Amino acid sequence: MILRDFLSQRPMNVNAKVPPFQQVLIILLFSLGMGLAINGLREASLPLVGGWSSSPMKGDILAVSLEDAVVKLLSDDALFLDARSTADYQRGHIKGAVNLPVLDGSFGQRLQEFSGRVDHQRELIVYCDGTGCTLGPQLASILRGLGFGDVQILLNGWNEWVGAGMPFEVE
Amino acid sequence: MKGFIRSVALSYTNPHVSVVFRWVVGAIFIYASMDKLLNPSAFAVAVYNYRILPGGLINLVAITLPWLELICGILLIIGLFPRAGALTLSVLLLIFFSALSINIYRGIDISCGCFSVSTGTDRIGLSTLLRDLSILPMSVQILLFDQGLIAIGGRTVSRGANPT
Repeated sequence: MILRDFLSQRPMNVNAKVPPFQQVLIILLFSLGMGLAINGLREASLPLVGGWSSSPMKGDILAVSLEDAVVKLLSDDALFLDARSTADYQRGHIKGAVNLPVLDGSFGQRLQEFSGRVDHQRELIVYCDGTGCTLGPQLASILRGLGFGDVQILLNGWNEWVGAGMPFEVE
Repeated sequence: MKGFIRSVALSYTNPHVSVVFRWVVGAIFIYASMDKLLNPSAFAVAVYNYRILPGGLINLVAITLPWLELICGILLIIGLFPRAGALTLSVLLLIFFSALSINIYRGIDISCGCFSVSTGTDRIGLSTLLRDLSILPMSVQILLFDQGLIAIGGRTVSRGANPT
């Protein structure tokens, strides 16, 4: 109707012609269509249904043992993610680990950049510090929600890693 | 006092005021959509943090909600389907108000995710709640009293009808 009015060069009074609830429907469908289309074209597109968990602390994410984690690091099978603050990360982190500090203000942008850069099928191992640390499970849960298929947790990660004398870096 | 209330009521029902409100509300929602459109993953986390939606709906909302805000904002400014746009945004504002209220009541300290997906700023609280509420009267005014002045889609009422 908009197109027809436009082509015939008549005054466009579509606001009065199209019934109100039809207008709302057009807006909703157009928004849905644009959202889905642009998401499909993005490099880091979100899966329509992510693996968001309602209880990230309840441990529905696989834990990896220290031995397996070391093997995966040495064979470059997995990418390590440090969920602690940037300051903690800079004081020392697992060799090659990427910092995604859950509580920092920059987390959103860093996550967006990470999501666009890393293959969603890549094996990821998340860690933080201490047995009661919740940042690792939180980050693992978020990554699964965004469509990363293979996310594991190294429990008590940093303490265990340093205690066992495994390779780490300082920035 | 009566005179003051009368003049406020008259201003509120004035269709020229609707035009100004359309521009203001439209600009607010276009601005609000930008960071979310650029960072959908981060916005999905903001939606997730509210702990209201079931997991299966979070990404779909993160993908479509910013577009809904952007499109309604543009429609209000150009004056195409302004009342439908205002109705959609009024419902959105009420949903945001409910989501904010629930989490303030729960005592959960999270980022609003309203204008920015940054996790460190704009924590939810009374100010975010009042900000949401301050937009609603403008949106409702457009819904009730806009007549399609300075609008690409023409008047919102048929010729010959007298809305006032």
